[in-house]
Amino acid sequence: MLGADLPSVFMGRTQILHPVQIVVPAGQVLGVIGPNGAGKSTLLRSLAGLDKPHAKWNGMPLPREQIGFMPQAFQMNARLSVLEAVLLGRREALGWRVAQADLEEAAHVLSYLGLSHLEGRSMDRLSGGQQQMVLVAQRVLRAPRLLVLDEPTSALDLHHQLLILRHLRTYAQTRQAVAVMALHDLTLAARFCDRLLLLKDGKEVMSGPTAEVLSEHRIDDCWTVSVEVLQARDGCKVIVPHERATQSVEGVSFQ
Amino acid sequence: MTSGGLYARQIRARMAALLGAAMLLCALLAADLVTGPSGMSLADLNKAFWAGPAGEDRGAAAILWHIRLPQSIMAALVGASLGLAGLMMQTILNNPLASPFTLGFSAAAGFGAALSILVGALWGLPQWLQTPIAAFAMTLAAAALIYVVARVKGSAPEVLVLAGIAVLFFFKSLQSLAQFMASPEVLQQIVFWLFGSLLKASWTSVLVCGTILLVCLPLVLRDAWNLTSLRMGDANAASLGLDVNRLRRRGFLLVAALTAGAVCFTGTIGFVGLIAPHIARAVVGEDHRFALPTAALMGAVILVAASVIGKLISPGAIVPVGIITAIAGIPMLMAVILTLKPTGTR
Repeated sequence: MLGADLPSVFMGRTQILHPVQIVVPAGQVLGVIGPNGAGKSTLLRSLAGLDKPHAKWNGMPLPREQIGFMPQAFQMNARLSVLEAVLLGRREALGWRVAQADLEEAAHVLSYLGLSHLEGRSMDRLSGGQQQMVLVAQRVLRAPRLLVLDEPTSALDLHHQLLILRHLRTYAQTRQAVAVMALHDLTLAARFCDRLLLLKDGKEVMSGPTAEVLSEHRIDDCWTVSVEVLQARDGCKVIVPHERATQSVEGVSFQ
Repeated sequence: MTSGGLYARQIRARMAALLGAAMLLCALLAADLVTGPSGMSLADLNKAFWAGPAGEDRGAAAILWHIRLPQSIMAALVGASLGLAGLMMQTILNNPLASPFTLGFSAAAGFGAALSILVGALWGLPQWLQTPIAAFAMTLAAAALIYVVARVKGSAPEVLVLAGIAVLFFFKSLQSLAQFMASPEVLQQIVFWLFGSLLKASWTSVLVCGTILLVCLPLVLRDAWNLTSLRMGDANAASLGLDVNRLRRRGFLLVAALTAGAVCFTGTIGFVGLIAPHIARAVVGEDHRFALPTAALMGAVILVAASVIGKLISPGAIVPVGIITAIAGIPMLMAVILTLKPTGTR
């Protein structure tokens, strides 16, 4: 069970995140949702504890190497092969000579995420979406207890969004780990997250099972977008926004 | 091909490239030893080599053991130090146009040397020893200044570069002041020092530069995986558990030591630390386990080649290597700029 009491975060004198308590049972995926500037990335950085560790597992502090954090911004002009890039996920354990077991494990992760065909390609020759998938593979190779991913599918097409999120959910379930990820696509959040944490203006609006958090009026309140929450044939929720043709931000109209 | 097979093939290709660079360096060292204004034949050199420093032919022994050998070995050591420092600089600053001199180390060394030449021998030290000591100390002082800024303001590349530019202009101004105050004879000596020449090489300089390189090399190589991780971006490296700021500060101190050791005896030798890392990356990629030794070898290859050219283009005289590398470096730098990809493109 993951638990974390995240403190307030300030940028200068502005409070950008109010205290948030997170509890997620092992094997589950927590989605962090909210409009732009809600504090999602700040919350994930705080949870990943780059500066100070906050995450606990069954009440015990979670060691740094048990946390796989993937930040939102990534810039990649490295002349490294995809296999080499994934191997860096085990940076601390790599010796001067790379062990055959590490190579096999990296190749297995690439195969697991459907990236084997890219193995020998140079990172600086990949598209943004392909680079993003390699970074996910790097995190999975670390085999962490807690995966913290900031918009892991932002550069991916629909096929790969579904593929990566399905694999991440399977990873959490089979390894009894926890995945916490910020997502903008509410339909994907509804499909792949067991629980959701809704943020607005740096404050928690609601946290709980996905079905309870995603209601039409709550989405309207937070995003000021009128939506219809429908049910797909497979039982998953689908969020359909309705365009308000003459209504825009701060009352400015576009005719 | 399996993952292991593909990776093993890559490693074999890189090992072959390293071996090739080492063989090229050996060939150039041999060419450097047999080239010179004295016109000694290969047979005489061979005889003098096997006879040792106390050989019967005093002239040949002096030329080989006291002039050519220390100069050739110094060229290799200085080139290796600058190549290694250059790759580290480009990696920790995430800037392909960075070099060991980006942060003003050469200006600081130049000022130290100019000051020493200006004030003359002090405390009973001979001038030939005092000048490199002053250059070395001033380089470390410049490094200490930037290090303090990095400790206070963080070690982001832009902080290091801005502090380095401030240090560069500060020491350049002091260097100009020293030149302005010098008599014509002293000014000539200062300008000659600033050219960057292997003529100042001796077994003492080989010992000092070699020791610094030998001490720094394992410390640099220990960070090979960390430096490789840094190539994937600061945020990504930090999220993999790497203390990016500490790595930058540590790398920066090693660059300062390597640069100080390289320039304190020979003067400013530009472009080697800029070009060698680019050749290394093009040949073996950015796995720093291979890129670091390759950059060191390529730096040595460039400087020894410059030494050979310096002896060949003007028969009977030796053109300082600093001038050769500067002239040859400009088209190389243009080639680097033209082959750089614009930011954000793939």
